[in-house]
Amino acid sequence: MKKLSLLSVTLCFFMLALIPACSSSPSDGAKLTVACDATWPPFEIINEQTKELDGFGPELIRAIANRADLDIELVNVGFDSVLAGVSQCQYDMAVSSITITDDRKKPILFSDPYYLAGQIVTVRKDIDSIAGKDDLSGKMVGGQIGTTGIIEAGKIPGAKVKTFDEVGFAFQDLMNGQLDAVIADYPVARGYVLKNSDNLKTVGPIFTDEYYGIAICKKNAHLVPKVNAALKALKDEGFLDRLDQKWVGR
Amino acid sequence: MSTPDRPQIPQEELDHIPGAEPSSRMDVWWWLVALVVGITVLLLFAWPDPFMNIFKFVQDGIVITVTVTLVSFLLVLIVGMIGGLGRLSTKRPVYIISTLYVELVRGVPLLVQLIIWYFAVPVMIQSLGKACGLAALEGFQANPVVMAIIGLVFCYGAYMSEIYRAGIQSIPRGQMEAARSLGMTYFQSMRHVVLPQAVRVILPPIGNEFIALLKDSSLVSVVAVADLTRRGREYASIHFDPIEVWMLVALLYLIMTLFSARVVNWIEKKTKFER
Repeated sequence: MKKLSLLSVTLCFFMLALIPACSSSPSDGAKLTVACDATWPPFEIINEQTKELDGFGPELIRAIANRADLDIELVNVGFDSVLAGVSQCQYDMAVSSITITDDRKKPILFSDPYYLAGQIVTVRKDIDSIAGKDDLSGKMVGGQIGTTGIIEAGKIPGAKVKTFDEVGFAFQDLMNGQLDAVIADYPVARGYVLKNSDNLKTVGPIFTDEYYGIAICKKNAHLVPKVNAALKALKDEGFLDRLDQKWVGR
Repeated sequence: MSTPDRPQIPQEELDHIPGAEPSSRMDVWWWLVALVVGITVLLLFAWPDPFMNIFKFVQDGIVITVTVTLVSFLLVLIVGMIGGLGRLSTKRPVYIISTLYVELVRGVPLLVQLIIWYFAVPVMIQSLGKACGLAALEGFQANPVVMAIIGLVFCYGAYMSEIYRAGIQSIPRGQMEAARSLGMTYFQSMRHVVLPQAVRVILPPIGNEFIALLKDSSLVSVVAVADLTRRGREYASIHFDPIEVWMLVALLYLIMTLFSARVVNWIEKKTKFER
């Protein structure tokens, strides 16, 4: 009997945990959780002074929320959890430099693209034998878990792929000489190369065209037109260009 | 030299020491292991998609997890014994070094230690090589699995030192004194008298450490060692099915830990004679 009541109490707790998840969908009054992985400079970072999420993505989503009259709350989680969470509707939206791919479109809805990026190979400065992604066969290639960089690395025949929790760890490993190359989005790779210009260089062309989109969980399909309308308005106003200047600044 | 007036006692009964028979009863907790294995196998074969796919993907991760754990644990047993004896040493420098080791290492989280071992130590070695002009050190490259094992051994060795110390201290002083007065050296008395008794005392906590080590080996995934946890994360990051992946990963860890718990239990029973 005691066991039975214990079981029912546990079940009740589970039910309680499920209620907010079930009811959070439609009304605009509810706070929307937006996931983001703040280890991806300059797009998603933690502001050193305020300890708040900052960067291209967070600033964009705040502007969109402002315009579309949405109440949002940003949370910082690992990139693999961002994707898993938004596909399971644990998060309502995600803005984390997520490239729109066909595989990701199956479990996740995407807004219109807001940024064009692509993958590039980064190596140590003293390495001359690697001139692009075609020279990476048999080499140890790293990147952040779940990113399109890792997906591209997996497509290179003969390359050994190593995944890291944070792209910064991959670049550190590259500088330590324990990795031959890192594949990452061009703006991110460029940031790391500029910061460590004595040790790192990018090689070869940007070899993919990838569009970042705001990921929206399937339950929140009604948000897609709102987000798209706000995004379009911001684009027309030149807000996206200003963000590009401010954070990426080519 | 048989004496006819005494009754003949069969040899088996002479060999029999009452109360010392190794338990032949089956350890019922094996059923728990069987249950978890059963659930896992059921999942794998009843729903091959996704469970079998996940299992195939994480297979090499299981091998890495088991290897890292077993190798680390063997080394931990040795490091712990040295550390434990050092903590009990009457020689001042030995005592100070081993106490410093234990106090400093157990004060830093394992995760932080692993990151230091893999990301910071190679840089230190390389810059040391540059400063001293040693080409071998300058080109130093860390193998992630080796660094992970070093990190685990370094950290768990500290805990194990304390367990050994406690075990040795639990043996009455008289044992050591008696052994020494029989003419044994310090190390002979440790080897033949004190440690065999101490090991029986500390077997349960050692088994506990083994299981803790097996679980903490999941932390090596941060230094890009493709262990079971990392493989699980990689699979989930491609297929977006965290519930199935983590359920299976948890079951696989459970099988390993429950099985090791039974093995420890079995060893404890086997070595329990004179109590």
